[in-house]
Amino acid sequence: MKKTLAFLLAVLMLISLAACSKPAQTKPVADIYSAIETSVALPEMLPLADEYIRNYYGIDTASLDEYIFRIASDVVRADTVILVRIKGDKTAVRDALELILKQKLAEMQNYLPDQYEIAKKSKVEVSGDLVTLVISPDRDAIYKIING
Amino acid sequence: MMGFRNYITYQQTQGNTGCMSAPLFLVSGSISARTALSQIHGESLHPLYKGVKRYIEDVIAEVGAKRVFILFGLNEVAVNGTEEPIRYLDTLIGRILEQSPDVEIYLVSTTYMVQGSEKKLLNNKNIRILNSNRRAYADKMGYGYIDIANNVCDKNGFLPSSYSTDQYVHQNYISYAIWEEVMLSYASHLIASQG
Repeated sequence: MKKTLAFLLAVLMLISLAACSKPAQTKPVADIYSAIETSVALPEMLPLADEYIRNYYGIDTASLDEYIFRIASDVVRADTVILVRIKGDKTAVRDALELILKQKLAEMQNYLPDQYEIAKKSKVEVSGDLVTLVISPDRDAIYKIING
Repeated sequence: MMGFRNYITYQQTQGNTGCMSAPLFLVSGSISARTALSQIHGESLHPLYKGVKRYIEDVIAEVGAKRVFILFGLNEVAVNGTEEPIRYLDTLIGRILEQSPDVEIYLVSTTYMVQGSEKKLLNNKNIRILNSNRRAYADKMGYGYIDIANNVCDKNGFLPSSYSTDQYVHQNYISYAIWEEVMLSYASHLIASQG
């Protein structure tokens, strides 16, 4: 009986070890954004085209593995969700997102104080291959979804 | 103008280019002709172009723009009333023409405010004075003038609340569709008059 139990435990341990060694699944940023849209009441968000991202933010989307760029359609809202997955050097993307946040803060500071307060709580996050900027009153809830 | 940029961006994502094939919007929230002339620094309101804060006149020259549509007004009137804005505008246009002497300049009217939202300096009376001054300035200098304001107002001269997102000055896509129509109509007349 003891031998059988020991054998079963060993098998279970092997299964556990096999599960641990399996590479973590990377969730596509489009799926992450869909989950955000489902769980959080975002205002109407405008998807930004490659040309816009290049012209204004200076980011060549061809250098990104995956990306989502959304800003609030209504200019009196600071809401922004940018999710970028990039395997290589993240410095340029991180710096570009820092500048977007800085510009948003400058625009809102003396104009829309409530939106400025929301933007002030934001910062660019880098986690693994993912570089993100989320400006939202529901920032914490959104990051719970991003971080899985 | 940021709202109009968002409207045009939305139309482009839907595959509708309309009269705007590839416009470049050199805008940022709260920018005015006065702030556009000021020194660039970390917190300044100069527009981003390719990820860098830039002077408007430099970007216009760099991209080789042929036509420049200028809409400043609300942020000017809110701070300076009605007289100063033309002076700042004139200086800015001077800087643009210095680098891009062949560019065509078009001034766009400032749209009105929703009834009940007017303030001490920023109000429809001052916006009307500003638009009138701007039209006279455009005529004197040989620049175009596009009157959008009187196409997005009610019979009492207010921005209809149904066109506003915040019951103040900011507008929705219903209003911006009219902006686009007015600009298209202006362009059609201009082309026709040029034979």
